[in-house]
Amino acid sequence: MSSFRSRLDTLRGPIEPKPHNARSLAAFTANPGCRRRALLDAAGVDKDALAVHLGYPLPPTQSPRALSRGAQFEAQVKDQGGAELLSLLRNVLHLPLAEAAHSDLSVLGTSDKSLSVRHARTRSLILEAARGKGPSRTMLDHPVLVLMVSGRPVFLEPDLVAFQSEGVFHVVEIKSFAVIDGQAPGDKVAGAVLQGAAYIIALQELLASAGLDIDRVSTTLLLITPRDFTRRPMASTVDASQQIKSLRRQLNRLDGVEELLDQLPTGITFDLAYDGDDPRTRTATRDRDDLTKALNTTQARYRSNCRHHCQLALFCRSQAHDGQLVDVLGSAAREDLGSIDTIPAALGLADGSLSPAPDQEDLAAALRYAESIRNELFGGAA
Amino acid sequence: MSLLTTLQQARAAQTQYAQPLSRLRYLHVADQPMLILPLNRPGETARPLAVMAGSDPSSPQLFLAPPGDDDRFLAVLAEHLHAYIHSFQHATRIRPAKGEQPERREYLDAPQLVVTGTASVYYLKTLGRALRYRPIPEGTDPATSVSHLGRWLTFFTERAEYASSSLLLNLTSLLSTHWATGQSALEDAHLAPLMAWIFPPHGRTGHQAALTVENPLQHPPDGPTIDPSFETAQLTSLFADLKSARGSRREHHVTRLREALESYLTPTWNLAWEALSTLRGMPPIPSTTTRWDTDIRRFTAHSDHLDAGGPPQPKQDDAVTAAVRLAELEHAAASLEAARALEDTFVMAERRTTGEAFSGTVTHTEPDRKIKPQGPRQRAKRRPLLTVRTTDPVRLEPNRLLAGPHDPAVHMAVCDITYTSDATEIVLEVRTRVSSPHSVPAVGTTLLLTTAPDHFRRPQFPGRDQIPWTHTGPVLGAPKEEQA
Ligand code: SF4
Repeated sequence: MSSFRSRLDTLRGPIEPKPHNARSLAAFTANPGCRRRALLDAAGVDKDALAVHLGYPLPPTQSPRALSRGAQFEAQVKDQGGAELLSLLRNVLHLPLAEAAHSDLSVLGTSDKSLSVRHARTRSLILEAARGKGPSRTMLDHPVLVLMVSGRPVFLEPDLVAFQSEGVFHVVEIKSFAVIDGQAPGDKVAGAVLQGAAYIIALQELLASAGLDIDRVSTTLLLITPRDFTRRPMASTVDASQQIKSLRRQLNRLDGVEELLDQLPTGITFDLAYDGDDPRTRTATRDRDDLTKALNTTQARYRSNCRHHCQLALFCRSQAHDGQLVDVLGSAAREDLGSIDTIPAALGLADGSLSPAPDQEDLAAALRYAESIRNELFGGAA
Repeated sequence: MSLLTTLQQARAAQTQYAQPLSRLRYLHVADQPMLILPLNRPGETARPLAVMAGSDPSSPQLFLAPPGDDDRFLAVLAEHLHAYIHSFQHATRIRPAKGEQPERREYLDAPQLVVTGTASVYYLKTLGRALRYRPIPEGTDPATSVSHLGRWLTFFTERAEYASSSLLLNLTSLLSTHWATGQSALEDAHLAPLMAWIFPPHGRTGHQAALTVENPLQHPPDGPTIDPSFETAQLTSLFADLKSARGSRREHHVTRLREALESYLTPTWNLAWEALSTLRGMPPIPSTTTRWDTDIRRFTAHSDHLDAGGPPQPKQDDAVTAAVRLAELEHAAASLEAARALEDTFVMAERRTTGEAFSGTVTHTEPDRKIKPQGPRQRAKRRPLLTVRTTDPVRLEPNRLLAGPHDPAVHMAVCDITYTSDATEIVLEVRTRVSSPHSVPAVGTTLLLTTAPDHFRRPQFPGRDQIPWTHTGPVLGAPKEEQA
């Protein structure tokens, strides 16, 4: 393991690994076939900094105001020891009236340094509750959970709460997108559920590590959102079991990066060679071409939706464009062209200047037919 | 997507210029449509910060909702949109009775809204939902109320789901049916890069031009979501200024906000009109008029519903309404495709690559064939037969009704298909226009055939009172909402 860790360290260079969070873990399930990202994520490389240094920064996608509105909504919901939240949870879980213990772990500090302290406290509170030594209705505010990702602990901060009732723990996600007449934008819900899945897995691991049954963590996520066009919160339940499965699969696969590491030439590094230690003032001095060469030893798998989950999207797109890969045309064309990887190959098979590989014969025939129809329509020149 | 489209896309990527998909238009483009460019307030649900709208390219109107001033904004916006809509509610004509339809009065023309893309359609739909249940204040005219604005927006966005409707045009999706670019659908969904591929400025390739407009600070993207870079660079401080200012200082900051949003929206405004006039310049296929007539009929019906004081559209469709609607949407899409195939050579060609159409030679005919009477009181029916031989890869089932551009009114049913090693022989029976001399083409003629538009029958659904109560509850959306 230690040589594995040290090889990942070499890949990253002498800076701290970029900490993962539920968002970046959730992104693992998008484009799982990309080896480049698997390696970068396993090593904790700062993909943002990488993209900036390569000259392909991704324009910001998060609205600052939306972020602060989200924080406001969360604060509103948790106000007064979570009284409103508790009554929503009671309704959605059909609980009889009873007192609940609300523990706010942010009193232990919210800086990065306090993460392990908060985690230790979270762990002991949850285990106490699970073993029936603490109050049964436990609401934990600002808990810190841990997931091991390629041999390294990742601290997760659910914006909220693990709630135990009748011996079962629930993960609660507070999101500020509105649910209107029982419907919400699909992509937003999907994102929330994937993040929730990361928390659920971490909670399952926590119980498992103490020899407790992981079935005591509900795989149903409790979602708190504004109702309709008001800022009044409402609770919904979403089944997260599919997302939990696929996230677990991806987390296991990340452990498989050892194999990918073996395939890299020795000494490969994505070190940006910073000229100082202060993240605010340092500049990267690594030669760009050299860095690009190093990145090219890893196999990318560009997809048009990469920009939604990976900071290298514009860099990889430009590489895919230079390589004339079918991938730049999007998923529909990608599907249509099956095993044909490049645009010149597709066009060559269509006009007959290229002969197909044995497994491409059917597709090539269909392409030649489509091309003949195209020529009928537009003539050779259009 | 068809391989033909994919090939055009590949060719666009290789040449770096957009490639034509079809040069014929199938949706109506009005002489005076109303372009609407909404921008939502960041972090809120369906709460516009500004809307640029108008029917005259040279004089856009900017409706602004500076923080703290929403209601007036909505009232003014409603007035503007209603003035446009009401201008179509004067001239009428009488449609004579036809079949089961009684004689009825109909407007001569209908309003047409235009937005840049699917995100804006969705936005207007949500806005319609937010507004249509608003109570109409005592003493105000319902016809110009904010509530009616919500109902109109709901009407237009619901119609926009029908592929055959032109009441609300979605520019990027429409342009994408006419051009293939060398980028993905995700990128095509934005007006600026799509237009850059289609009309790159002189000296640039489509690909280069599209990359240039990707910088959000130099080329503000179309809405309704405000670009975060613009928000950070300008909006945040403008909002902060507004929050603390009163009186004339506030006026001053409102003006600055207005200018900032005007310069944000103006490039998209100009581009959208350019896109519209390009689409308008394309020759329409003949059935475009019929589809617009349907739209006019729907517009008339909704106008009548509002005039009669009918209720707003329900929050959720019940199970039957939802099923009927889904079937109607599919029906509209399928019959539109079939109609287009008969009138647009590209669509027909595309269908040949998917096996839904073929071109072949007539090898045998029996123009005088008759079939025996089915019952005692019936006479023998004329049912000409013909055989067509094609080398196209066909995918057809027996009994399917086919038609061809040579005479779309002649429908032929597939009776028999025989595959030989190098061709396919299809035996067809003429079902409509059987006595017309043109219904049976001569041996040696080349025929182009595809599924006839009328082949798609509307499915039958039970009436609402025939449904057990277990199936009439509201349709649940995701996420499932528990009773609170
Ligand atoms: S952007 Fe590049 S590295 Fe990231 S997932 Fe896509 S292909 Fe992989």
